[in-house]
Amino acid sequence: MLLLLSPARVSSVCVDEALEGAATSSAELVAYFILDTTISEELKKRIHDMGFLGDAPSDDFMKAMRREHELQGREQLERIGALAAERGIRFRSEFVVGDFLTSSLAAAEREHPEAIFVSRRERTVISRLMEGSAVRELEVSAPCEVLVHDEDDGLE
Amino acid sequence: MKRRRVLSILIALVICAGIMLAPTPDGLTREGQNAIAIFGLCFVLWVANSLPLSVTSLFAIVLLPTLRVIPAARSFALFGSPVVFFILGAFILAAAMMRSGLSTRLALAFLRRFGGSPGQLLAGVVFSGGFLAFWMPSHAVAALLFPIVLEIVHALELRPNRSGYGRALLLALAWGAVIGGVATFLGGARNPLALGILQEHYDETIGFLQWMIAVAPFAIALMVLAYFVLSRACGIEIDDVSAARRALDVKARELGPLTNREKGVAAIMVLTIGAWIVAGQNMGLASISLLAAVSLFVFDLIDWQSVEEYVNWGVILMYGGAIAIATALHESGGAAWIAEVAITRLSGLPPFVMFLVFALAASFLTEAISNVAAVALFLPIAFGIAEGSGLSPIPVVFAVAVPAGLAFALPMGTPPNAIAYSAGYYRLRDSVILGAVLKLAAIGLLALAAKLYWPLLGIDI
Repeated sequence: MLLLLSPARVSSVCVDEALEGAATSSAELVAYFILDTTISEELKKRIHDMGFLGDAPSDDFMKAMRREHELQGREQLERIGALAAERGIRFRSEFVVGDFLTSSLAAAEREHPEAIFVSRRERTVISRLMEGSAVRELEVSAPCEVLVHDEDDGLE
Repeated sequence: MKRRRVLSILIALVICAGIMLAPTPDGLTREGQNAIAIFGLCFVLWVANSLPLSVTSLFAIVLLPTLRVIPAARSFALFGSPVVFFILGAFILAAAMMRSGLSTRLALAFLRRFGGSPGQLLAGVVFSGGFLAFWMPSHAVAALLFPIVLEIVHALELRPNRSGYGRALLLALAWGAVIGGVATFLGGARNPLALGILQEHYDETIGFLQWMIAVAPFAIALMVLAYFVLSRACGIEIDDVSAARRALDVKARELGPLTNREKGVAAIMVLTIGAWIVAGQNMGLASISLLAAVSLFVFDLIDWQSVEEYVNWGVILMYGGAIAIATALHESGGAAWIAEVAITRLSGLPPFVMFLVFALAASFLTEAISNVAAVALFLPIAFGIAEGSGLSPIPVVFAVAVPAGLAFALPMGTPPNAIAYSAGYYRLRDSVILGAVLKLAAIGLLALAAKLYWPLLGIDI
């Protein structure tokens, strides 16, 4: 079973579902934390173009944000590993930096999972309409079933 | 992302062309119609953020003479408005504060003073962000406070999306900076932009001190409200913040003693603020701003490479273009025509109610588009509506510019919100719900200030 996580996709419900799935199938659970560079680059662009923050403070901010996301990602993987150990589930984790969709498909290609567990990050409806959804594209392109937990608030 | 970008550019062009090609309504000139078409194009592009804001402004500066709204010489001259140079000088001063480390030192000094208890520390984050944003751009304040607040949450072992106190601290980072940014002309360029539009429209002005006296007390009261909303709504689940205090002490020690560069920058800042207050009306805010910037180089307190790294030159294009669009809308009669259409729906409203309508409209508009775009697009129309309703232009400036700076609800509403949200300590729904509460409280507080306090300053509605 493949569990996909990123800074914006952190659902504990999704983690529980992945652990349950692995336990039920007696399968190994492989968790990938993808440090999604698209989000940080978009944010840097936004504060640079909209907030007119200079290059140096924008870069400093982005480094601080990535450090925080990396720290959170590694802590999450450790926590999931501990939960898996408690339940006697074989567990392996990987930490990857890159675009979420590309990295997810590469992970699926490498691991040949029975199923992929991922959460759809919380966004407004307008944002989803205008910018599309990486998770929807993953559902279409993945080589196996994709089980999506929706964190969406359904905000209008 | 590419699809959205292409779609929004196409929509903007279609709207522009559609308005231009429509039959000209009675009471509207051809120039006014074309100005409204450009206004529509800018609105879509600024909302969708499909081009950098400054590039949309550049587009407008070029379209204005091309579509014969105003002559080219006038369009490009507006690009060189004194307000643009005031903003440039202020950004160079802010760059010096950041580059020298003075802003970080001030932030740490403030926070360490407030670090006695969880409630005090939370208040410290709100007020340090707010106080710094009185003197430098609010987004820069949020960016510099971000690693400091993260040190605090790590020291206290607060977990993302689990800790109420963590949620409160990150929201406090954003809200403090946002609120402080409305108090003077330095916290956000939307305020001087509003001043520039007022000057072009009516040849009237608001002094540096006059603005500060009118708005700073409101901002301070709003910071207090923000603290109460956060402490009650998010909850404070910890009792002891000594670990955070120790982390802040370590960071302060790492800065070392106050350097000569920091002292020099501080001196120039204080002298500049004094000059704006005392001599702003006579010398002009822009002249003082640029003299201060030059002084930084004369006294070797900053180098040009640092200015290039810390100042985003797109700001000149953005604000120049925003003033050009606003002025063109006014001079072509486009704003007056829109106002007349709006007035038929709003006629009969007392001036104070009109003031509140403007404040609410600006307040919600700014969640969708950048603060400066909200002022550039809405203020000329508000002026037009106000003329027909007996509301004088100076309260209109406050009614639009102040709420336009108070985006609390959506992470993408303003850079400080996006910066704080990116840390992952609160969810979108937290920001939306609590932000909406604070927004409504802010409008209420502004109404109270306008009714009870501003008349004492001679600002009558």
